[in-house]
Amino acid sequence: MLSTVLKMLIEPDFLAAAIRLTTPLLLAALGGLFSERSGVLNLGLEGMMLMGAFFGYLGALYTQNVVVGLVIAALAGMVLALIHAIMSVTVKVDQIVTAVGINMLALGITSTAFRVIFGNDLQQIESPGLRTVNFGPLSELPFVGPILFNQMSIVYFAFLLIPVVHFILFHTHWGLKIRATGEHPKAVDTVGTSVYTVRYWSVIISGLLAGLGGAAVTLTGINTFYDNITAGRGFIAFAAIVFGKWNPVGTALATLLFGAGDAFQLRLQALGFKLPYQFFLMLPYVLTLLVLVFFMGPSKGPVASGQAYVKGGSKSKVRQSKLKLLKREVNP
Amino acid sequence: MKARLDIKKFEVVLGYVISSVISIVVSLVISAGVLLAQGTDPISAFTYLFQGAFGDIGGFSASLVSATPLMLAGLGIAFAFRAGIFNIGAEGQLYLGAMLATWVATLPLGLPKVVHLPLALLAGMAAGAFWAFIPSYLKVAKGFNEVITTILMNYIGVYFVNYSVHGFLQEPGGYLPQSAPIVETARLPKLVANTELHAGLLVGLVGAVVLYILLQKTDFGYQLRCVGSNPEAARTSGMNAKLTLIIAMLVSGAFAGLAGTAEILGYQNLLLENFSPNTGYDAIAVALLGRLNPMGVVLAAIFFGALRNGANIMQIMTGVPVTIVYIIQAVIILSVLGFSTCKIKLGFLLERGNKVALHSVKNVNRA
Repeated sequence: MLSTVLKMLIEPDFLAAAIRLTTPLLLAALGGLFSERSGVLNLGLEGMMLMGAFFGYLGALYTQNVVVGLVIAALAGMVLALIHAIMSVTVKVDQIVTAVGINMLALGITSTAFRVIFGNDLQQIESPGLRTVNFGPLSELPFVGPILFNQMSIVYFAFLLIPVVHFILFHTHWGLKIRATGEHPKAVDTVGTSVYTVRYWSVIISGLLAGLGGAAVTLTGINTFYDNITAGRGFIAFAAIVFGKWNPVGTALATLLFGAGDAFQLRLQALGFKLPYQFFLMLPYVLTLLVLVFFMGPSKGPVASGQAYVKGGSKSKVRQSKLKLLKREVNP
Repeated sequence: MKARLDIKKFEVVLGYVISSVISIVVSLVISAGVLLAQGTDPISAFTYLFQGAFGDIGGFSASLVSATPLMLAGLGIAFAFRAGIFNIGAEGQLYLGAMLATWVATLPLGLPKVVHLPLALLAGMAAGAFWAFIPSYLKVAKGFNEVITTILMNYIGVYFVNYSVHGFLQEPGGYLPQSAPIVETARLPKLVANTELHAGLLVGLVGAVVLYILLQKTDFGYQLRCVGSNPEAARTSGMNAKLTLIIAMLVSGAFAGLAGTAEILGYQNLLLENFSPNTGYDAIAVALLGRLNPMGVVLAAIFFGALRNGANIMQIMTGVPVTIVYIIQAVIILSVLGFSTCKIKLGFLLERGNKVALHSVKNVNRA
């Protein structure tokens, strides 16, 4: 039995599926990197993916054009990201709690709109989906052909994005600003760059890519939608950023691991193992947790991550006022 | 001195009440917009929502039944938040609690009710606490972000419980994915005849009082709030922040476990797959709307329970999907957060009121 499993792991079929299933996670995680690097925790990736998944499907269905679907998915992710940015950058609310709110908002909007548009019987209408790119003779190659040259366009886009994001973050002026904002917002403010503008754009870009990631769930094969279809992929993408130590290449490798885990559980089910299917569904999450515990030391993200920037205010001032409040509460 | 403090407190509470009311109104206005866009008359939809939630004794008790798990899980989440640890894992803890409680409650032990019921409740609490312990240990010992670990534990827990009703908990000889019915000696008693209202509500109310006393009147509660509001100061003043965090999370998980347990022992009476979708996440909204205060959580849970129950009636009468409740809840969370950061100035009226009150207090003392 073990040899069957091992053999399966090097089959082109499995590897191709692993790459395909990595794509949504990869897009969302690369987007999340921008926001994380600028110092805004983005647990809202899940909601942004869900918005992209639904509106991508809806756009593709109504216009019968997948490209329009992708554009609408990206826009839907950006709109939700804008709310996250307003709440966490301008209003300065706790970024984790905001994310809980916007994830719930995305679940509400998508499942309500789905019922309103398609009725309560939730019949499945298929939208047009992405097609595989044909590389001619390259696609016919044994082994490499099905893995590398028989994927959908969004897969190539996602993987090409890895070096692009790396270049933007580490070799451009703009990337420097983003990273500096995450490490030391006060210094950025002092040299005359608006911390708020940098953070707004970073969060919006993360929404754009997460929206595309969501579309990569619905428009690559299933071509339909159901409630909460992203099923925690946004959270796994967030975890991948932590594993990847806030680095595009590391993050990409982490998402590849989870994509492979997902493909693995699908294959195992197909092989007819006598395990209940719930354990297969559990596998990617267990894998994520185990990798976190056994292979990762605690890693430190950008220093200012998760903290709202108050122009002109210093952290210690905030702390002092909090202490004062506490004292008053304790010894009246 | 004491009087001035009470007025200060009054001002704070009034600010909370006003901002909560504003956020609820804002969310209702936004959902009215959604209803209009869909072509439903919002007035009649909200009327059905209200009637379904509070219209008669049956509706109101159904609202309280929906409120019970939200209350228990919300109390736990609020407690952990006060210690500065984000327990997003109530969903998984709730499922695990329900599973272990079901296991204990379906054993035909022949025990009397006074033993069997508490045993089942304790089992549920223990399972919830255990599921919460893992992420808290990982945070304290290894520095892992509890948000991501609790979310992963949610998925693992829910899938495992769903497996249990296909596996070891499945009714012997049954074909459906469900457990055997709960033994009579392990059921929570009904509070009102001919309704579903069960003693789980009392458990929630007592829990709220216990947590309130624990937080506000004990040394541990003081320590917990210090760790939550300023971990560094707490550490330098010699508090054991790590132990405090773990205990806070254990209590939090126990309450979440109790939420799932009460739902099974009081209302559903057997364990099903996905028996309580999203309760653990909705309870986060309850905790926030309740301002992380046990008494506030009770009120917020009743409000959300009424919203859930009323939405069912609204769907039957007008065809508006129940899922619109998620939009209402989300807008409430976001606006509560927004308004809580904006300082609500009540204007000179309150200040003058303060002075008048102080003056009268002085006069009373003199007299």
